[in-house]
Amino acid sequence: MSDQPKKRGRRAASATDETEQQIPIVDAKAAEAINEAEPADEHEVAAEAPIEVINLEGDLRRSSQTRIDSLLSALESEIRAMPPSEDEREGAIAEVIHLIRESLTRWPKKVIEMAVNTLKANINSDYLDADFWKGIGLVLRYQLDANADMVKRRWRGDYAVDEFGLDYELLDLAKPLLLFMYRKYWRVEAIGLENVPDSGRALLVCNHSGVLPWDGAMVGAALNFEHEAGRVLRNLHLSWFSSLPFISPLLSRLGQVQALPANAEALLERDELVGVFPEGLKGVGKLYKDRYRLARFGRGGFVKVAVKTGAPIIPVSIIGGEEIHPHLHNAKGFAKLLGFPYFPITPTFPWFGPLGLIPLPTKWTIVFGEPIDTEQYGAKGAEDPLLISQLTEQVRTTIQNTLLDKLKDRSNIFV
Amino acid sequence: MERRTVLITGAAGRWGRRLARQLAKFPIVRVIGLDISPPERPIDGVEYIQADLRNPLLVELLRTEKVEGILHMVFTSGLSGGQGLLSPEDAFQTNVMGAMEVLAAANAAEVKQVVIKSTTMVYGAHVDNPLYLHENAPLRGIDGKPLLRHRYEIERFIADFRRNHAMNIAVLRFPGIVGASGASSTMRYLGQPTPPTLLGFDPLMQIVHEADVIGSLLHALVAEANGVFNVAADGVMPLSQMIRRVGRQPLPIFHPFAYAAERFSLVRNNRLAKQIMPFELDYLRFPWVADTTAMRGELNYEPRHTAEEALEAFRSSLRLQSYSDLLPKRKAYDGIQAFLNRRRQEDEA
Repeated sequence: MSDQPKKRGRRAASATDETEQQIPIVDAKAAEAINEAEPADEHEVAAEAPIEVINLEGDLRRSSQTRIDSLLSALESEIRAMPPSEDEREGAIAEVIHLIRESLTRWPKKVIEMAVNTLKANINSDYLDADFWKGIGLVLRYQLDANADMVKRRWRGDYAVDEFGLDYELLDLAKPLLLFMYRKYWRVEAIGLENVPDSGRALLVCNHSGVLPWDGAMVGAALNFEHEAGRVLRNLHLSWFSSLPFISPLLSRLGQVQALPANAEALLERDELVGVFPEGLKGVGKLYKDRYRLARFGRGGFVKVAVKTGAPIIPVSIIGGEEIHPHLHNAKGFAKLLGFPYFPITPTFPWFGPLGLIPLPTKWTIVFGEPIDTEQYGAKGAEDPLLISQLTEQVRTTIQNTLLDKLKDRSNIFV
Repeated sequence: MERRTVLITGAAGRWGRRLARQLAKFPIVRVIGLDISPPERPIDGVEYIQADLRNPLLVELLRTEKVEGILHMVFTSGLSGGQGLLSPEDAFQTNVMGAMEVLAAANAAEVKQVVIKSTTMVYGAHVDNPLYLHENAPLRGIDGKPLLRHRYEIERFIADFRRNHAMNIAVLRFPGIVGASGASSTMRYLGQPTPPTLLGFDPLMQIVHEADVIGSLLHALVAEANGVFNVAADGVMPLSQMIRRVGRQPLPIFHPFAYAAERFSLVRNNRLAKQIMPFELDYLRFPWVADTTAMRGELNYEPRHTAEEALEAFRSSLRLQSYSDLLPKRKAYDGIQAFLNRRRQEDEA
């Protein structure tokens, strides 16, 4: 009894593996294999090879996303085609579809497909039919099993982090929050995502602001949710964060790395996508009156690293992020007392305590600019101070000009 | 065929013994073991000399025996060993002065190759450490415990010595050593029921399998390596994950309390406290992960075990810890079985 589903699961997994290699995948065999796979076994396969699943996800993202979309729309039309019993069901259908779309984001793509397929298969069936409830039971069981299994595995230390401490499982857990902030709260519009390569190294240089570094998270979210290759951004964070309990391991597990030239170089050499905020503290602790005025770009260390590793520089301009916490005054004395780099006084903080840290729901636009090629200068170019300062100024000007262009067209910071 | 002579200092010690056992397997190598205390179980084919390292006759010995390579494995913790407890001054004499004298004598006797074991702890654990420390990174582990200070002094001396002398010196820096034997400070730390960690900190850690310690030291000797190399297993992982992989659960301590406790000399010099926490607290707080590109490149050594395998080996040995009395019997049984099998095969052939 217990042996049989295991075998089936493995066979199904190998079948799906085959289909994963050949994109486009939409063929009868794959659909069959997916239908066949039992939900309880799905996570077992994932548990055996967590890294492979994740690595594949990037490549698969495009195809499986469209596949899920088409499945969902097919499901929707089928529901609509059903004999109309009550009129108010119209709204309910949309609600159900929406619920599926939103709540399933944490699941692996294959499972979402399976769930949708199960739903579809049961669409015209009687609710009293045993199969219908079996299907729902399977989905619930999968969810429970997956959660229990994850807790067990993590307790045993049976999970993987990459060379810089990124834990993909935790990143998946953080995704719903990021997705909510990205889609609903700040309604981020990402422009020029095609300028970010599908694979290989690149250095994203962004303007920094907002008291709390939400901007880095949103650039990362844009690349993960909207970019065709679903890339993972490794932001470089202030060294100060590395000395803080809880924050330091959390940032590390979510793929952020301490901002040191050696770290940036190592990341780029491993063909990662690296996000830097050369304004640093001067940027994130910027006063509200200075919003969208770029501070000095450090000492151009980021350009040096890009030239040394031959990584293209992509200027990223973030509009909307500079208004989430109107930073009216920097209480330097307080900051010094607490060992903070700055202590912001905003209309809500510190007056409302932690609640004051809820950011304003501004409307964001993120513009990914044209990449600046650095390969032509060779690794030796990194030692040329003139080249470095010129490139630094070029990147800075590009971002500042894009900011001005976008600000010109903006009517209201909230819409 | 002329046999080549290798001297192992500290041959009765943990690493010296294992190196001697491995080297003695090669008929072309003649192994001389030097140690202040006699070996517990002498290894066949190894000539033992019981003498102090700091001995004016060392040069003479190296010359007359035509020693070509030295594996310098003397490094006492001052806590154990045949001599019983050593005073800090004696430990310094043995560790630092001993290394200096071995190097000087080796140079005078025109020894080709010296191999010395060191630790990546000499880099120190600092908040601004890059995630992968290269061999040329500054050595900032000087605030550490006295033993780390000894390593630091030795490394400093070697760096100086290199400038003026052409002799090949390979210094291999290892992170925490893990394997089935259970005898290293890292393993004692990980093997506790609940290894203490610092609340809210979980730095990436690196380890090396003990077989790779032996393997790389011998490799450096044979390959006549010159320079400093980090040697570590593939696979960095957070400290808590490492502890969990060994089947233990971390016990997080609020770090200001831990640091405050460490300041009291009563706690600092307490034997039990030292056992529970063999490292400086910073080493559980900040990363000190070493880069191993030079190990693969210049040294051309490929570690045989990953970090996961090392932890798994240690975990298996922990599981059998309480059955240690049964293990020799089992080993004997397996040995006879293997012997009989061999005989049967020979008979058939």
